[in-house]
Amino acid sequence: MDVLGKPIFRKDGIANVTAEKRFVDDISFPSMLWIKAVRSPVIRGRIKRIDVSKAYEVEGLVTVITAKDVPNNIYCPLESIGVGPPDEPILAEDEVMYKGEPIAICVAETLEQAKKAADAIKVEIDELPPVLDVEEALSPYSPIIKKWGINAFIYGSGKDGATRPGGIGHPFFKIIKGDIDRAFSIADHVIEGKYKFSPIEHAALETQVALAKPEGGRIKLYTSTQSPFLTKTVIENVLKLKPGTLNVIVEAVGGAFGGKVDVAVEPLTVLAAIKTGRPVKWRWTRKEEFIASSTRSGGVIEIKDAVTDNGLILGRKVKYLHDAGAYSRTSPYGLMKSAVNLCGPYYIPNVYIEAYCVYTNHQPASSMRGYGLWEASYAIEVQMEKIARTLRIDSWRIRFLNAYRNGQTSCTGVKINDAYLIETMKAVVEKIGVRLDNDLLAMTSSDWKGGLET
Amino acid sequence: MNIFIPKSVQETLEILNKYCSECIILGGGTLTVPMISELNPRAVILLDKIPLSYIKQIESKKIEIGSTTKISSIMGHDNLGALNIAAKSISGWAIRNMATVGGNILAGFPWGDLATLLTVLDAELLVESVNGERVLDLGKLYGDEEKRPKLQSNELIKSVSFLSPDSNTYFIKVERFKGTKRGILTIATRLIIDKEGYITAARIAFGSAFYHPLRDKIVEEFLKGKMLSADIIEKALEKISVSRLFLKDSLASEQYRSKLAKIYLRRILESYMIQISRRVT
Amino acid sequence: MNQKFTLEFYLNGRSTKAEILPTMTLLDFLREELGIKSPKYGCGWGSCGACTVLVDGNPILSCLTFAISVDGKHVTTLEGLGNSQNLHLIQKAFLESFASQCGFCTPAIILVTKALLDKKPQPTEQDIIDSLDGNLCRCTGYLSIISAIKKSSELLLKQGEKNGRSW
Repeated sequence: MDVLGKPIFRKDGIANVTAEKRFVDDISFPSMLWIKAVRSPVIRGRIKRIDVSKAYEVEGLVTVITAKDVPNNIYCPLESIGVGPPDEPILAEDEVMYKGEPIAICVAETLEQAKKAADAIKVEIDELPPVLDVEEALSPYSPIIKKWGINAFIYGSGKDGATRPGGIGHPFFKIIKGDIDRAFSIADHVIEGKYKFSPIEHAALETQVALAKPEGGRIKLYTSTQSPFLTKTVIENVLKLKPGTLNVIVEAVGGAFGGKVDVAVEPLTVLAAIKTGRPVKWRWTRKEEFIASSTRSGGVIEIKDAVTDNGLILGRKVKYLHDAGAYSRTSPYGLMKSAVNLCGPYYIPNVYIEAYCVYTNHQPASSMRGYGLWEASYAIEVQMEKIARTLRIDSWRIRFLNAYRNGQTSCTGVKINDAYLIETMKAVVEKIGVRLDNDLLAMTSSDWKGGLET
Repeated sequence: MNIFIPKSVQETLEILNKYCSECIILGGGTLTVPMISELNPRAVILLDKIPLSYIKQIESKKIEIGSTTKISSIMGHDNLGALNIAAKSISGWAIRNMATVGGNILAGFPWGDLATLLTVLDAELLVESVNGERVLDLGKLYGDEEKRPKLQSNELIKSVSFLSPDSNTYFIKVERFKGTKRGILTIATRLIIDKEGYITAARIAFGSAFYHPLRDKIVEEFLKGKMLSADIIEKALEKISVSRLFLKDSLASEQYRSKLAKIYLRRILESYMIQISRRVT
Repeated sequence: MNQKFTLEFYLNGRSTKAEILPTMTLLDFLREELGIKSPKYGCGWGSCGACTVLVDGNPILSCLTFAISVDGKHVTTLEGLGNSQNLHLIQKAFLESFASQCGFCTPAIILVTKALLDKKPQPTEQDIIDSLDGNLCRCTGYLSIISAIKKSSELLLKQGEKNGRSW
C-alpha cells in the first residue's frame, strides 16, 4: 500500500497539461463527413411538410436523414430497465414539442456545406398553443400535450421502474407515512412555503460530439459520454442492430456533469455512417447545447409543515411539480429520487407527498449532478429557516431537534441506523467558533429512546 | 464571399464603396466574425493593415485615437484616467488584445463600454468615404432613440477625438457577478464645478442598456447651476428619463437596470461632493 | 471566391507555409489543416477562451481570427511548450497543483499563463485574476488554477534565468 498518505497525480494529469489528451473532436479520418441538424424554429406545432429538395442541390451534400429513415424512431433511454413511456422520437415526425427539436440531419463533405444544406431545407409547421408553465400545465384549461390525456407521467402501473404492472395509475408519485391529517390537527403552527427553481444548463466546456466509423463490418463509435452501455442499448434499439455490431469507445470527456448521460448525438451519427458507408462526425454547437440539450429541470415545491411550539416537525405535506419539459427521458425516475429526499436528514413521523412529473413545451430536462437532490435540499433547507424565523428559534436548534436519530424512520419508512448529522454539526460549530446551548451539545444520534412523537 | 486586406485607407474606401451594405468590416472581429456565417456577406474587409492604430495628444486637453487601435493599447497608457478604467473593464484578455476602439463605438446592445465614456467627453468622429471626409459628433452618430448608428454603408470611422478625461470624469461598470466583467450597466459622468461649488456643465451617460449609450440631457439640465447636496442628488435621480428606453436581456431586466442606474449615479454624485469638500479654499 | 492565399508564418518557432482558402479561421486551420489539436472549439463566439493561442506572445482567440491574419507572425500553441517527455515548468506546476480535471480548458489557460509570466514574472493575485478573465473552466472552480500560476511563478524564480522564448 505504497500510495497511502501521499499525493497522487491524476492518471491523465500529464495528458491534461500537454497536447496529448485526445477528445472526440480531435479525431479525424479520411473521407470523413459532417452533420448539421435542422431544428424546429417554433415551440409547439404540427409538421405539415418537410421539403428537402433544395438541400440536395448544395455542393458536397451526401444525404439527408429524416424520421422515415430511422428504423425504430423512438428515444426511450431507460427502456431496458422498464421505465417508459416511449414518448420521444429521435427525429420529429408529425409534431414538434420544443423549440430546437431536431427534424432532420444533413450529412456533407464539410461543416459549411452541411450547414448550407440544412439552411436550404423548408419545414412547414402549423403552430399550436404551447404549455410553458408547470403549474398551468395541470390546470383544466391547459392544452394537453401528451397522448394519454394529461400533462403528467402516470406512476403506479408498472412503467416507472418501481411499481408492479396492473396497478392503478396516478398522475403523481405518492409517499405516505403515518397520519398527516392528525398531525395538522394537533400542530401548534402550520408553516407553509413555496419554492421555485429554474432549469440549469450543464455547459460543459466540450460540447456533445460523436464520430462513427464503419470498420470491417462493425461500427466503431467514438463518443464523449457518461453512459457507454446505455448508448449501446439505445442505438441497438433505435437502429435494430445485432448486438456485437456496435463498438462504443469513450474518448476523453471534456466535462459532463450529467449532461452526457442522454444518448443525444450518437444514434443519428451511427445511422449516417451506416447509410453513407463513411466516417461521420457530429459536433453540437454551443447554441445547440443551450437551446436543445437536456437541462436540470425547473419546478415548484410547495411545503406545508405541522410544527410544535418548540420547533419539532410533526408532519409534512408536499406538492412537488417537476418540469420534465417536452419528453420523459429520465425525469420519471429522477423525480422519485428527489421526492424520497423531501424530509432530508430530519425525522418527520407523518408525511404526505404528491410529486408530479409534469410535461411542458420547455426543452426536455434530464440528469445533472446530484439528480433531484439539489432541488429537494434547496426547498427543505429554506423551509427550515422559515420555521426557525417564524418561531424565533435558532437555526442550529431547529436542526438539532429535528435531525433523525438511529431507530427512527426516513421519509419512506426505512429504519435509520447510521445517523450522523448531530455529530457533524457539532464538529462544524467547533471549527467555526459558534457556541451552542448545553442541551444541544448533549444530544447524539443515538439518544432516541423510542415511542411516537405525535 | 471575397476577403480583402487593404493596405491603405483609400483602398479600404474603394472596396467599401463597391460592396456597401453587403460587406462586413473586421476591426478585431470579436463581434463580427460570428456574424459572417449567419449573414453570408459578399465581402469581408480585414482592417489589420491600415495605419489607423495610434493614440496622440492633439491639443493640451484633447486626445485623438485611431479607430483600429486595440483596447489593450489604451490600457498601456497610464495617463488616460477613466479611459484606462473603461478599457480594463472589458472582459477577456484575448478580447482586449483584439477588439478595437472603432468596433466598440459601433458595438450595439449590450456592449460599447468605451463608447459610454466617450459620450461624456464630447467625442467627435472623423469619418471618410469615397465622397469625402466629415466630422460627426458621437451623439449625432447614434441619434436619440434610433437602433442603428447613422453611418452610411460606404463610410469608415477613421478616428475619434475627445476631451482628455481628468478628475471630473467618472466611469463605472456594474457587473452581473463581481469580477466577471460581464456588464449590465455602465455609467459615465463629467461635471465641471466652479470655485463656489456650482455645476457649470454636466454630462451624464448610461451604457449597456440600449443599442447605444444614452445621454440623459434632462438630468444634465437639472444639475446645471446647482450645488450638490443630498437633496439635489435625490431630485436629480428622480429626473432620470432615459431609463424608459432601457432594454432587457438574459443578464438583467429593464427594471433592474433602472434601479441600478439610480443607485450608482447616486454614488457617483456623492463622490463629486466628497471631492469638492476636500478642495483647499 | 475560391482564390487561395499563401500563408507564411512561424508555428511554435518553425517556419510554416500553406495555401489556404482565405475564409478559414485560425482555429479550423490549426486543427484541421495542420493537426494542431490543442486549441479547442468551446463556443465559437469568443466567450469561453478554449481556442486561445498566442500570436507574437499575446493571447488571441483563434475562433474569431482569420488564419490569413497571422501572416508573418509567430503563433504559439501548447504543442510548442513541452510534452510528456519534457514538461515545461508551467505544465509541471499545473500537474502538481491539480489544476486540471477534464483538461478541455487547460491548453488555453497554460498559454495565458505563459503570456502573463513573460510580461510579469512575479504577478500579484489580481494580475492573475485579470489575465484569466476570458477563460472559462467548468470543472475546477479556478482556485487550483490560480495556485498553479503562483507555483509557476515560484518555479520560474527558482530557475533563475529567463531567456526570451526558451524558458
